[in-house]
This record gives sequence, C-alpha cells and structure tokens, in this order.
Amino acid sequence: MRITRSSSHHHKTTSKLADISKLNAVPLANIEKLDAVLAANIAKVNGLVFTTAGIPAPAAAYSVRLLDSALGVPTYTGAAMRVRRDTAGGAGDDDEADIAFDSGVISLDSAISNASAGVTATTLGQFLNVGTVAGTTYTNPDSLTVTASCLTDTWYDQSGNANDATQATQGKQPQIHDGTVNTDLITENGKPALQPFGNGDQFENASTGVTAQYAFGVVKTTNSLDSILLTGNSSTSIYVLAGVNGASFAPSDSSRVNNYYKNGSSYSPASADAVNDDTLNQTLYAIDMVGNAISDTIIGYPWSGSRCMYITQEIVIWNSDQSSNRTGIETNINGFFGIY
Amino acid sequence: MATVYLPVEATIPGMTSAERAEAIDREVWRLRRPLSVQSPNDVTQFYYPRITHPTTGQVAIVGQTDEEVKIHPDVDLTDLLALLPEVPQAEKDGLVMFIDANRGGTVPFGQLIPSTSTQLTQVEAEAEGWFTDPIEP
Repeated sequence: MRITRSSSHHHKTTSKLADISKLNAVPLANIEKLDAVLAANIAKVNGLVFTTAGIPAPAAAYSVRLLDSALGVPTYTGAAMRVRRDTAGGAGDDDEADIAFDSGVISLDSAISNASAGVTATTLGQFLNVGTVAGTTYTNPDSLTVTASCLTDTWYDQSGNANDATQATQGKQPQIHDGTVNTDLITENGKPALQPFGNGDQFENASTGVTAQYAFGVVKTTNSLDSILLTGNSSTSIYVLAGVNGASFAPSDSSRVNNYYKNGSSYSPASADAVNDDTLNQTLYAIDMVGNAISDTIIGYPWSGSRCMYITQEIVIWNSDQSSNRTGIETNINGFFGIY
Repeated sequence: MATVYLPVEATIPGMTSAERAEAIDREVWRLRRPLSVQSPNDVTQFYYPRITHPTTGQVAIVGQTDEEVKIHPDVDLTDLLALLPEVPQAEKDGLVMFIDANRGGTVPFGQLIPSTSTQLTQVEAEAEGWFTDPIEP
C-alpha cells in the first residue's frame, strides 16, 4: 500500500494520522478497509498512528445519532430506528416505518422507508403530520386527522452485529414524539431522545443477544418512573444502574459492576435513590463490568412491570475491556451531546 | 386505570401458559390492527405486557379494565375464539355480537374478559406471589 500526501513532505514524519482527514480524497470515516484490513484493526500506517486503533467494534451500538469509526463502529448505512405512529384510531393508525439519519441525527426531516402499506409520506414530519416546526411546514400526504404520537419499536444496532433492540408490545414502547401539533421531537439538551411514558417500557434485544463487559449510556431519569439501564436475560437478579426515587437498594447487582464513571469521573453511588438524584439531568455513564459480563442484554428491566428504561439517547456496549479507551469514548460522546 | 392480572392456564393441548398468553395477546392486538391491514414488516404484535410468575412459570396478561380498545372495522375474531375453548358458546356468540356492534369504535377491555378467566387485582396478584421483585433487598 502506498499513501501519497499532497504536501512537499514526502519523508516519514512523526505526524499522527489523526491529522489526515482524507486518504485519496476519501474521508477517513468512509474508509472501512485498507488492503482488506479492517480499519478498526489498523494500528499504524507506515509508522503513523491511527487514532481510532484500539477501539474495536462494539457488540451493539444504539443511538439517535449516526455513529462512526471514532467509536469503532464500521460504516453504517441503515436506518436509525423503526417507529409506529398512533393516531388514536384515526387514519393511518399503527402504521410503521423505518427512519433514516438526517445529517447524522434523527429529525423530522429524516427520510422514511420500508413503511406500512398505504403510507405515502416521505419524511418523519409528514408521517406524523406535525404541522409547522421551526419554520418548516410538513404536508399531510397520508391525510391524518390528528398529529400522531410516535413510538419506537426497533432501535437498530449500528455495530454490524444485527443485535437490534426491539419491543413488540405496543404498551411498552418509548416515545420520540408526543403527538402535539407544531412540536419537534422529544429532546434532551437539544438532541432527540427516547422517552418512556410508563413503567414497563424497555427494549428486548433480538438475535443472539449481547454480552456486555463495558457499556456507555447517555440517559436521564424521569424521576417518577423506576429506571434501569441494562438487565441480563439469564436471571432476574442481574441489573445494572438502577435509578429509583426513594429506593435504598443497591444501584446494581452487587457482583456485577467493577467501576462506574459519571460524566467522565469516577462515581460511587450508594443506592438506586442516589443514582436517581444524580441523573435528573442528561448524564453520561460508563460502566465497567469486565469479568462479570451480563449476557443477552436488555435495555430496561423486563422482570417487573414497575421498572422501565431511562430517557435514553445512546447506549454502546462492548464485550471486551475498554478501560484504556474510556476517556476517548467519553470525549467523543460528550462532544456530540454536550453533557458536561 | 384499573389494572387487572389475567393468569393464563395451559388448557390447550400443546401450548404452555406462556405460548397461550402470547397468542391471546397477539389476538387482542389484532382487534385493533387485523392481519388484513398489517404489513409484513410490522414489528408491533402485542397489546398488553405479560408477566411470568417467579415460581410457577405461569404467565399473566396485564390489562387495564377501563382502557378503550380500538376495534378495527375489518376485525376477525376467528383465531381469538379458538384460543378460548373453555368459554361457553353462548358467551362467544355474545362477544361476536358485541364486537360487531362496535366495529370502527372502541370497547372497554374489561368487557372483553371472558367470565371463565381468573382476574386478579394488584393486591391479589401480590398476595399470590406474582411480584417478588429481585431488585428489592
């Protein structure tokens, strides 16, 4: 392999490849392989350090934004999520559609595809008949008689492992739009968010499931519902990061978590109540479970109808130790969400 | 809303409690979105949450008696009725008439529950051990 740089400096330098945004005019983010070697596995090119080397592809990656190689995610071209619109029995009720990323994040301008029969809307704003939002008027091609609320039944896995998070029960699906006319998607700190609106809301992973050794989540508690970040599917006692107002029990299964990190700093919550109190605003958690992994990971807690997922914007799970990459991963996540 | 817990018996040969509960829940969803209007890619398939008894493994559907269930004009009750063999024929006929009269409208879920079903309140379900919460210390 030969890399030609356009400057006059043809000799090897100590410059890191991080300074190079493109190779042969192709953005680095779009380069999946070099000479058949996965980008995530390339530590150096001609002695130059590849900054994302060392961050392997996650086991599962769910987000309202399009993730990329900065988090070890191979190029992802699929939809962000699949949603169902609720028109309270009116026209178009319960139709579903995939929604795409719009400039790297879901929005009312997100294109829709793979929709139920009869749907002619082309954007999420049209699909929901939201009216006028931020100066943009969305037409109503499906002739809905109301503005639809929007529930998420699939949060697609961007990792390439097809561990899509699904929820097939209508009463347990989180919202991304509350059905109010002339209103944008539900947001936290200016970015879209999935919001549970009743206990029991959560996602169950499809496929073979995910083994979680290290997990990152951008979440916020509702304060009124009982929130759980992750649960193992093999035992009712395996839970991680409970945020429950007034609860004195441990924030996680005691043998499960080695270290918590909250907004980039070490964190030692005394109880689920403490986590709830510390998560009243958008928060980034990193959870080290190395050696105590949970398998068949679920977002939320399916074992009791009185628990649910957090208000959630991103969850990325690795099945390997990411201690050495934690700071870089947190920096990337915080860079997008602006949490702290 | 009044929450009702409906433990499902494994009375149909070849079906466990969990399988029968799932099948009934699927048919409740189809009252609102019949197969004839579903798309092959529809992910949503069930109406109500279901819980599993922590010791017996029996499954209960967790419904809301006063929730208005939308009845699609094209609803077909054939498969739902087949899942209720213990319900007397006269009661099944009454259910069909009731649904037919409300096509395109709504009916309270409580009026769809067969007389043969066990119905537990929250307190009764707790007393029967449905809510042993493993998180609680």
